[in-house]
Amino acid sequence: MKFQDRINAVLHHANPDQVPFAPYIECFPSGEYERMLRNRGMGLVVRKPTVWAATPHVPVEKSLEGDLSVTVYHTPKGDVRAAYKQHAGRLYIDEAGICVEGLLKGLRDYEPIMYMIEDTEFHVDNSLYADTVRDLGADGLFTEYGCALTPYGHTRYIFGESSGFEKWIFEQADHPKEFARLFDAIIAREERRMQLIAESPAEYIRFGDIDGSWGPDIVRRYDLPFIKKWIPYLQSRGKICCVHAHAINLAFFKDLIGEMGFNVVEAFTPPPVGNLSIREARTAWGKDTIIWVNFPETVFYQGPLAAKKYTQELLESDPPGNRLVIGFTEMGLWGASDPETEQLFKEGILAIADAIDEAGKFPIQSRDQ
Amino acid sequence: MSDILIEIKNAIIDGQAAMVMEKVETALKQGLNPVDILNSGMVDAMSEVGQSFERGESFVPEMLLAARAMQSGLAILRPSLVKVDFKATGKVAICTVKGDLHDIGKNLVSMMLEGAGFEILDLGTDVAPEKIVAEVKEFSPDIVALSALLTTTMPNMKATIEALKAAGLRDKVKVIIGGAPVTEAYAHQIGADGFSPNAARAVIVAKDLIRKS
Repeated sequence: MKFQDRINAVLHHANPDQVPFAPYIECFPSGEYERMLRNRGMGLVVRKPTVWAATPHVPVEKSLEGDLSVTVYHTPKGDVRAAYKQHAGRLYIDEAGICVEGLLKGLRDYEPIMYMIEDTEFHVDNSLYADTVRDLGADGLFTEYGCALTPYGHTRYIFGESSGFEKWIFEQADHPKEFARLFDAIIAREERRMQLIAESPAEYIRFGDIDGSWGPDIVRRYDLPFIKKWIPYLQSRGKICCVHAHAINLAFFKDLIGEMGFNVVEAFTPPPVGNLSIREARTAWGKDTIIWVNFPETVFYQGPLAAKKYTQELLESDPPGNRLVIGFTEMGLWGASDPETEQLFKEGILAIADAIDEAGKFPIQSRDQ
Repeated sequence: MSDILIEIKNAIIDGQAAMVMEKVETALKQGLNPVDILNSGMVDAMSEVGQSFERGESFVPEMLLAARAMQSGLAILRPSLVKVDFKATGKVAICTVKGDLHDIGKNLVSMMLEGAGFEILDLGTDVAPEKIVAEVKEFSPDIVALSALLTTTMPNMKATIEALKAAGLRDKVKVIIGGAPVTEAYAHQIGADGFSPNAARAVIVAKDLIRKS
């Protein structure tokens, strides 16, 4: 099978010839090494949106302040600004930078931000989808990425990603009414976005994440109603819905994920990094849920033989292997900055490919058989 | 335990910073020993929050709110602790390793250790081994705590331990490591003295190392 046939067999509840090996495209440097692995059947996952947002009545001013890239949003309710540190290490060279100052810093920022949320207009542009699908051919999978954050997840980013995390938590405790207004406004905006995503030509939709920093009670309170509303609707439009469950404490979210109704649980990081095994997850979620493993790169530090053995055991823990995918959703080779680590990771990744060749053919036999 | 200490403990667990400040002031006015207020009211509260975190009953937000409440109370209590010549449980130098800018975990560990009576020397993020060596020489911490979120920055934990060895400091300081991708096996592999899978456990590991040293 070509990669596309293989991944589609898994996603459409048929039988693949073997467990697909499918990392995010960012996790590999394009070139010889990636091509060699694609020639061995590895596919690439490309995440892009088909729905774009704009705030037509909010003039934006960008400037550089030293090594900070500063964006000021001028709204009729006042100005707000965000700042990103440029050249913040190897991982951020090609990105906008790392956020050091989020939009929401105090009570006075709520009104301008509310204005921006309500001013947001969405438009559909399927050209990236068409171009990506054409470029990948049978070598990859397009993932609609426009709803990668739930409404609650969006509130976090308004405070500034990691740098604003503590402020985000404290604000919810200190100013609950203001936070509730912000959240309700984001829900209303995201409802409009979801309607357009449902019409997207993309079949595979990444929808929200399980971060693990905040608990199941908060997810139930803020995200579950939205998820329970939109998953059945998306599925009725032929979409395959995936949650990015990268929490390393996923065992605490096992029952909640079972309630959500996703087709695919991706970024699933098994022990020794995560605390939920595939076997336990399979028991909790049933035979039809697709488990898309984020291979824990930490295993690479034990050498390629250990990586191969680990992969074989992983495969054998989920027979017959027709609802299992192995990939990298967090790091892979991305960010390996010294030659020793890069070589170790490359050897480890080859060991995964070897293990899939040897132990990943459908149907995988149980270790007990 | 007196009612006021129970109230302080409950207010910390509930993340009520203003309430903790008020209750600590009341406890001091009532003539309670500041060390008892710290240990029985505050440290116990953080320990309970840590246990709840380990059981998956509370998460980072609850821990952050409790830590903030604890720090608010400590700000009131600290002058009284100085007067009675209170000694910290130990001194910890903490940072994220070179190449890693992600500090949520590091900050959480700092707060939990401070809540357990440790003195914290926060070296910040993206800290090179040679800088850590210099800080160890200058401040003589009991423990160096290294954090990494990115799998690819983990080798800088090993590089730091090797730099401490090269500087002749390895037997003068304990090294503990943690962060999402870090495992106990990796800690053994690089010769760290301890590993913690989360901020709550870091307190237990650090106390254990101090007790054994």
